[in-house]
Amino acid sequence: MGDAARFADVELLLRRAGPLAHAAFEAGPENGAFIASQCRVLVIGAGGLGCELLKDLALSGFARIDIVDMDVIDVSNLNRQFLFRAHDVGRSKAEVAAAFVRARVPRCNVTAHNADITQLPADFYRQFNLVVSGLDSIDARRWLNAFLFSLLERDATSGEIDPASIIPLVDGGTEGFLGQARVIIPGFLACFECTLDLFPPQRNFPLCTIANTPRLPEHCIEYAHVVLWPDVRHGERFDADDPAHVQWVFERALARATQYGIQNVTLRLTQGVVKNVIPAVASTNAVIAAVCAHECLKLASYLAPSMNNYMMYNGEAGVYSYTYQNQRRPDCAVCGVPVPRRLGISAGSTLNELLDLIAADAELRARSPSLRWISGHALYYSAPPALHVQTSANAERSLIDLFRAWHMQNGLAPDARDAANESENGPVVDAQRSPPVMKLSVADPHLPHVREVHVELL
Amino acid sequence: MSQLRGSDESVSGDAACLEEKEKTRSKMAQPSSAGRYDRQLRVWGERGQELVERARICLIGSSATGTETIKNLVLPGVGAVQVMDTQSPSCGLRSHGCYGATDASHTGATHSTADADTTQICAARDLGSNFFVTEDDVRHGRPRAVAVAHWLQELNDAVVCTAEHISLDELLEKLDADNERGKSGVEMWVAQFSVLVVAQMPFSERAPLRRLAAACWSARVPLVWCRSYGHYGMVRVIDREILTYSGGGGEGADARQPLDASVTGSASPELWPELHAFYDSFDFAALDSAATRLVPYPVILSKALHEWREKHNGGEDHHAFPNLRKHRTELQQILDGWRKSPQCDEENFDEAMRKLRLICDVRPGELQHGLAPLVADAEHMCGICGEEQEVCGGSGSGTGRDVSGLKNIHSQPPEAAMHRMRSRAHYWLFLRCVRAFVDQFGDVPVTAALPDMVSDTESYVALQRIFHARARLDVERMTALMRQQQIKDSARCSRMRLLPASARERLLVEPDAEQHVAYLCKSLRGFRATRTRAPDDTRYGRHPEDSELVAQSNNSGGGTGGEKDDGVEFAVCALLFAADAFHELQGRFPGQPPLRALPVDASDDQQVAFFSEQLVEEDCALFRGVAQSVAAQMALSPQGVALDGNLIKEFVRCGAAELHTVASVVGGVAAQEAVKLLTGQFQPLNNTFIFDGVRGASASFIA
Ligand SMILES: [Zn+2]
Repeated sequence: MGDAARFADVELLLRRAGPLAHAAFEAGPENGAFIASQCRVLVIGAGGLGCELLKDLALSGFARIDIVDMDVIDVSNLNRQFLFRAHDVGRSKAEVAAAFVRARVPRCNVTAHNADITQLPADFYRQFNLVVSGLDSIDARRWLNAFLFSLLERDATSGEIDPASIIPLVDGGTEGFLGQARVIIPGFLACFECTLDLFPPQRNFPLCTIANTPRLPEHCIEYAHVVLWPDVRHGERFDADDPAHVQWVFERALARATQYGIQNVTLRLTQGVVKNVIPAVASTNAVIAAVCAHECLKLASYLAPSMNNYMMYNGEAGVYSYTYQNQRRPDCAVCGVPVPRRLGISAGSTLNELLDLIAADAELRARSPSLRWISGHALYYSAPPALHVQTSANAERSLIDLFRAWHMQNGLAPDARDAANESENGPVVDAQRSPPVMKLSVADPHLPHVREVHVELL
Repeated sequence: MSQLRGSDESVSGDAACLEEKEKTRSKMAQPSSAGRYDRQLRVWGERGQELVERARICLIGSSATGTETIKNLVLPGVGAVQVMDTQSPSCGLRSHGCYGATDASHTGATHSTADADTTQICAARDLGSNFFVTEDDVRHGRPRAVAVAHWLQELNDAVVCTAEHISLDELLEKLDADNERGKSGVEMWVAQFSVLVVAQMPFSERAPLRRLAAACWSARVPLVWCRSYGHYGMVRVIDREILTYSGGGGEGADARQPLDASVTGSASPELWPELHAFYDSFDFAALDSAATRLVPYPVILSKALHEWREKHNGGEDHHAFPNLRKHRTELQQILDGWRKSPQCDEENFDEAMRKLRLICDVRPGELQHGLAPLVADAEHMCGICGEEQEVCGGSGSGTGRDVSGLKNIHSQPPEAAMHRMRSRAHYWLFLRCVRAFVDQFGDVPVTAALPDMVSDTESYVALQRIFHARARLDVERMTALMRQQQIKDSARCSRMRLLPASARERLLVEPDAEQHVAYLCKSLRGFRATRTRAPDDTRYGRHPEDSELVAQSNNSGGGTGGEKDDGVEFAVCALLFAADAFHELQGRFPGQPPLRALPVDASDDQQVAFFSEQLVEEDCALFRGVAQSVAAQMALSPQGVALDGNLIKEFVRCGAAELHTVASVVGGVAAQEAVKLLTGQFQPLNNTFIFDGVRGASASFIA
């Protein structure tokens, strides 16, 4: 086959011992053979990072690669997703990317999965030695992290993790000239959820600014998007990928801007606001994907110890990167022992406002949560539709009102499991006494687990 | 990462008229590219994209590292790339028609691919590292530069990708011969490019890269030098002076700029009567609490300063500055006095409090943001050719010494050289006129951008209108000043007279000057001139000013890098130069098998010999000595470079292998730096970036 001749560069390292190699490294032709014929790698995402990752892995000798992506190719991908051409627009990203790499590197077996990562069975994931992700969504990365953690198997008596059940996750992300790469060994190193605060939640424009004192073009766009759309296009779901929908918002935003004398509402800006478009360039994707692929090569061959364990990259001012060890959080919702999340909100706020707070909270970020009292009684369901209809009336009620109503109905404090709090949170709220606490359990598709949340009514 | 940037960073209005015109023009020119380039336009804006599309790039060295760099430039749409190799293909195709229909005619060609490393014909080894070489290219024995240019072309129709059928060695020979006959030499050749990328070329004493680098230095052509070496990668930017304007021209960039001092009222009212009339239209006593909460903070600050001056010195001193700590307290008391309901959120007052420095620490006309030294430098620069007046003869004592690669011009100079000269000239001319502007109008030109602030719509829009009108006026004033200065300079610039008449005209401020000047005014806070070390400084240069530079570069950590230790990267940098010195002695790199490529049908024995660990041991002993002496000569850190024995051995183990992953990291960083050089946006690398794949870490510093 001439594999040694082709991969002479990688083989020079794989077949010769080095003092900086991992302690478990054994030089020899077996390393290259393992990478080519046994090691199975799953690439998540066939976007800017995914295309680069496929190329980098194929040219590092990996020959059994699977790639998952449910998206289709858009013209705006072509400035960096170099496995796609203009005539591929509209086709499956995973399939086109896989076919391109198979054609260019014939020894490399790439299997495409045009699928939603959350819909693939656990046994699918269990086939892989390594997972490497290039996703632009925080939610998807949280899900993947939690899922790989859930695949860990422990010894029934000792509680020790079975090493065979560990699938290392190499994760990359970019925005403009910024990026980061990391190695997560589920159960051992800080996980994605441990360090969620590296990604501050998106701040939305306050609704009162949008409605009453618009100043920026963005305020006008958000008005058309958040206020006008539900109002005028009653019941129709807004789809940021539908050009007609975006055009509609753009035109309404432009009208509002003209009315207020606000300038610079453009279609591009509208797209950016309603789709939360992330700036992306070829170069940063190349850097981050290659750092991730190099970690894969090291994990698969012990060529060198793994990065420990997080690298941030900033190419805006010179080239600055910093690699350091992220610490595990003992109370991490995925890999630690979670404690109830405490939130504070004024007692007169509506449940809707509490939902906003939960969506914006750095740790929860639950954007479509369902809330129950921890006693199990329903408070608010975002889905399924039947339950949503039943509970949606609560959304406009004030929290203190809900708190009192619950108490009246049940004759005890809403946190019935906690007898100590019962008397403290009496039916009548006294401003002089410590604030009442709503103890809730929050379930959300974005959250790895149901989370207990304590809401202080201030 | 997607959530890194809060969406409250926003685009507010700017010199709307001019901007609109510019947008329309560029959209008409490239109707289909807006969709394709959408995501990068959000990083460097329309203006940045225009400069990218104008660029002409040359790559020398078409292995994985160089190819990956160029790939990341073809994708964003540079104008043209030309690919060449360092050595001549001893056999291979010298025609363009080697793909597609004419393929059949070449199938008979037979080549020995074993010697690929020296002939730079596509070989098996390229297939394992370079994504832009195919099995078919190897079968046909195509020159690697030709294959790479062909497959890169496929990425983007808008780019012209060509392969040069001459090696660097041959080219240098030819140019030298031309030079002797009185024609242009290497300088003139490099001057046709916007950026030169060289990959995997050693920098030893007699290396052709030395000559190339010297020519680029003298012709002001930026050189990006990249290498991948086992786990390690390097990018070095070499350019005498990199002129940049801003921290990125993408969407919302304007609105991220802070306000200047003058707009908050510290300037004398007579300098900007419209603004002060607007401020005066607010009367806190007459406002109810709802209205008070929506007064924009510049109004609050301006009024606070006015009131403070009234109280201070009995109102005698109308230009007093609240620059002491106790003054700040006095101002705070004034602000608190105006608040209607201290319980309630009055965010506008909080904003005013946070921006107190605008009226306390900054005076109108003061050159902030590192502008003062640049404006001082600009005094000596010619507004026509962008060189020092002493060089072009503008000061009267000119030597006429040519530094731009434009000597001996009998015909039209290359487009890239003209563009370079013109942008330099406008850059310095603008800065030179900032001084005159401040002298004449009392303050720096106003930026049209108004950041978002707590305010009712009416006040904000009114304030924005006042800003726009003033910004337009300032652009007109500035353009007039620049034109006047250019007329003076054009009478004196000797380099202008070297050019043919048609080229001369293009050096003057163009008819669409106001657009350009508006952009410069907007960028006023971002001007920066980065001077990198000369190429031949690399190994032996230890200059007095270097220790300061190095100290700077070590501290430029952006805040988070307190514990960052770049010791390994310093050593890697030294070892890369040591490997070149070794190469010059031995004809190969340490640990590199003497037989450059393994035959495709190599027997087990051949493989064992090729991947010999014995070689590592032998070369280690030799390399250690070379490395010690090179490291001792390098001025990388005040403490010197500590060479760890393990690192030296690891380096030899690498045997100059070009791993695709490392090549791709290097290619990404190199392309990113090329984009900065082309667009004049962001802050360039000064001057060396080192990647260490063992730790998954990197550092940059001056080497
Ligand atoms: Zn965790």
